[in-house]
Amino acid sequence: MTAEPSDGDLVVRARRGDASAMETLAHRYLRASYAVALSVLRHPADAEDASQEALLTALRSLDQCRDPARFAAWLFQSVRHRALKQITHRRVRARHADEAEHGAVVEADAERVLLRQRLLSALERLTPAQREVVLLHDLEGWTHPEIAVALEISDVMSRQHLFVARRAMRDHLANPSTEDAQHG
Amino acid sequence: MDDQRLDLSSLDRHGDPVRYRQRVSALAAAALAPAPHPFLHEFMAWGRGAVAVGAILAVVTWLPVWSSVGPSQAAASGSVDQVLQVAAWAQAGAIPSDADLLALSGVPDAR
Repeated sequence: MTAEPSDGDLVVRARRGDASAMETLAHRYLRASYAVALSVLRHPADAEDASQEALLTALRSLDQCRDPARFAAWLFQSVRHRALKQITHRRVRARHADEAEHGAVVEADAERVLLRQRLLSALERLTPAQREVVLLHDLEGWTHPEIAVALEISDVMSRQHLFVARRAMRDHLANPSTEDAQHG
Repeated sequence: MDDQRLDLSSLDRHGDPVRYRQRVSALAAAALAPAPHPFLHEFMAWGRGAVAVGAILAVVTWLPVWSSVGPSQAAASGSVDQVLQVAAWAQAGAIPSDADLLALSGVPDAR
């Protein structure tokens, strides 16, 4: 076991203005927030914006986090809310445009772009919970116990979601539908 | 159980660790930066509106008075001149003579 501080400790310290605690929280949860936002928006650039905004808002309003030990669950709820609001306000950009305008690296690798489109398309076939689990586990490298705590589900449920999600995505990637052919 | 991880790296937006660290630092700094107090913010927003309404009310109230003043406008501008003259003396540390004061008060040919 490592001696990493718990979320609860970090939240308490960050509330008192501890800059290093604030930075540790941001470092620990920026990527995961992106995964959660991506599970809702299914658009990487929008998910990046939404996750940063939600994380910043959460860090600024730590006093409203009633249970510091459950910071992850509280933050992810805020990220989902922000992402849904973004959809509601129709601020989601066109699916195939936008990389350059947000300062992202221009990808010369067309295959990578195509693969991303197919992965996003495959994600659309999953339930929101399955998307969150597969992104947190396979993209961000979280463990099932970590996912279970953050999403407030059981460890078994997390494993079940991952199993179903992977199978569905592999099926879809192996047999891309005509819809994907249109997107691609 | 399926233990084979899916390769989702093409969805990753935080692949560059240096950029990630910079982003994290910027976020933490922004979170710690003092934000305007919500009450103060609301009050200032409300205050701007109140000032605008006050200005409009003042103009509406004074418009009829202004138009009906007519001849006294000259006196009004004269009083401004008097104030400016007294201010000039005060600034220069000069003591006005009796004649100056009489002239200032409007007595013709006082000098």
